[in-house]
Amino acid sequence: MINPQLEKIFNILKQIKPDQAFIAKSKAQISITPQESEKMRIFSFEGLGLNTAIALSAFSLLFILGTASYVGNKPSTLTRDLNTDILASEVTQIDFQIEIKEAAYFAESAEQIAYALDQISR
Amino acid sequence: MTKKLGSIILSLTIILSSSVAYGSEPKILAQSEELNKLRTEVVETATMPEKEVSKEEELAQKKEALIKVFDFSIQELKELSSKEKLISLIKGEKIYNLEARSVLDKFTEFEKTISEYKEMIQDKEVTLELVQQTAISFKEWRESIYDPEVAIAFDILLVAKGDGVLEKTNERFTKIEKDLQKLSDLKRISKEDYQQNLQLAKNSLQISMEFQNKIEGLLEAKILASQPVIEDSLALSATTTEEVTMMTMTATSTEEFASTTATLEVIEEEKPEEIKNILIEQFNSIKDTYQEFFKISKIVKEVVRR
Repeated sequence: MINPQLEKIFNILKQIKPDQAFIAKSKAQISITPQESEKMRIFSFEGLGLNTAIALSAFSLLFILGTASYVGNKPSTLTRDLNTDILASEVTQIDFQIEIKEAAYFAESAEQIAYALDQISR
Repeated sequence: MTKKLGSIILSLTIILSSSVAYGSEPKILAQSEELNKLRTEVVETATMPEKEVSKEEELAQKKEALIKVFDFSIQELKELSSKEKLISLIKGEKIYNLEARSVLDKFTEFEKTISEYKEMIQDKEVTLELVQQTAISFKEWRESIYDPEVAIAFDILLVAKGDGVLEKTNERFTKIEKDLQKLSDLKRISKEDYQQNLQLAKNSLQISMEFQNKIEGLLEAKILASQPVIEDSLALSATTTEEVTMMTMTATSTEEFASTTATLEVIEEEKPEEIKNILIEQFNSIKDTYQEFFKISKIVKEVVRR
């Protein structure tokens, strides 16, 4: 004969059901985990919580964007670094303009050397 | 689920971030300080003072200026041949790899030619007339042989640059596409959310590839056009420094000598489209691709907030 007090507690416990969101989350985790290879685990930051992942994402993005602004020698762009379109455009232009400038410097040099040789030959 | 989502978002952010980062690779200056200094010195030394100077002083100054011109040219070749420049391109079978090897061989020959010029002028017995005639001879050699080859070297570097950036953009596209697919499989994002941006990125990438094919074709055409020039230009590259100088000195005037290379100038004027202009268009197209990448990044961030 179960103690009536204890039976009452059992009945209450039977009525407790898990949250539907928790069920969905657990099922998804169980169904995903075995499909992953060890290699994927290393690079997937699996151990990180969502908040940590977001924080790291934001940090890495800010770090890279900050570096890009430094490369562009325009510290003022740091204040605009949330505008990713402007930044992408700046970085890309800085990148190829170096090569274009080099070609222009050469053309300029060639003219100056030709001028110097003219002076010497007079 | 949230951890998985977090990990994908993080890796996607890193992919996008590193895409921007490759533009931040260390670069050497457009022209080194040493080369800039040499160039300034050349012009300063070659410019004679307004006051009357003796023949000895004129000879000393012009000799010094000419030697500086030789030093500048050798330094320019060395910088272009450096491991950051042409030497970095010698491996591979693309048009710019093949031509980088060919240009490097020519540059080695050029250095020898310039050294011969320099030795001749450094002779203690050199006369003012010889210095002046050598300056004429060297100018003709530079304009007909040296300058066109150096210009091709810059074109090679531009074409290689375009190809390198395109390759990396392509890699980013593939990685982003894969991650979006993962998010889509997890039902965290709908394909409709990003499909349009991804397609736009793909389209601009395709345009960039077409520009790359075009500039590689132009480089090939330029090289082909330059070959007969070298063969027909009195075989200047093959002749010795002494022969070139003698040829110049026996010419009755500078104009007469210049007329022998007139055909070169005509060919030079028929240049096709400039590689650098197409490269600018190509980079604009790559910029469009990146704009779509960043738009996709924003869309993915929205997923977290849902």
